[in-house]
Amino acid sequence: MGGGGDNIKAFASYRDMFEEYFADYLVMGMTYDEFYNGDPNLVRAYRKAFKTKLENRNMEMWLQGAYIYDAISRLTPLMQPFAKKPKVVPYLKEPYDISGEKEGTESKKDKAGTEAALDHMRGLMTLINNRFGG
Amino acid sequence: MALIFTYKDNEYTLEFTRNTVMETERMGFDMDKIDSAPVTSLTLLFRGAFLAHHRTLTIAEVDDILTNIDKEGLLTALGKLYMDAIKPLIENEEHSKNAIKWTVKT
Repeated sequence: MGGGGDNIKAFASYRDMFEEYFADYLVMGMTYDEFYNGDPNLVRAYRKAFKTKLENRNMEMWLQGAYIYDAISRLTPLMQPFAKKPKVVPYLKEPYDISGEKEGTESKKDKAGTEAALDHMRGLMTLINNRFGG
Repeated sequence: MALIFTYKDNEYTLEFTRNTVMETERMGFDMDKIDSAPVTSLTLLFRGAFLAHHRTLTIAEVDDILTNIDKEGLLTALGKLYMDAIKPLIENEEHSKNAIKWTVKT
């Protein structure tokens, strides 16, 4: 992306250079008018905002993975072939408290559910490992 | 950063946008020729610096201001304004944070 500074190419003119960088800033959401006629320093804010946006997106993807992992963990009792009465742990009642504001208020049921699901998952993995020598 | 002054009761703000950098370049200004052609460079740079906020002024009017303005350090100041429109694109924040800081003593 523009502003890297590591890959400064030799440009025949500043026009060529601006045209080269403009595409990157378009991706970041900058308009033509902002880039060419606005405050030249605005690109710094766009770079910073874009970096934050990427970090947030990364966090969202990670969180989604965590929910999927959690959901699968809660279903693992069903995956145990010899379980007599498999009991599925219900899905979380509330989303994870990512802001940390509700610390300590996580429902005991949910917490217990997560623990139980993880125990099942561990048990299943041990069973598979024992059976297939993993 | 901008260069501000008053002339004949009018306040002028000189600065560059990336668009006016390109226009100044089109007028024939070349940063590499500042040392070899300082007078031409000053004239072109001065004319270009008016484009962002005083586009309606004629070349004759701008040149009249240039004739009457104090030229001490003007070329350096205008060069800095010009580079201010380019620098934010090529800087590397991480590198800038760790770069060796220096000062000029006179």
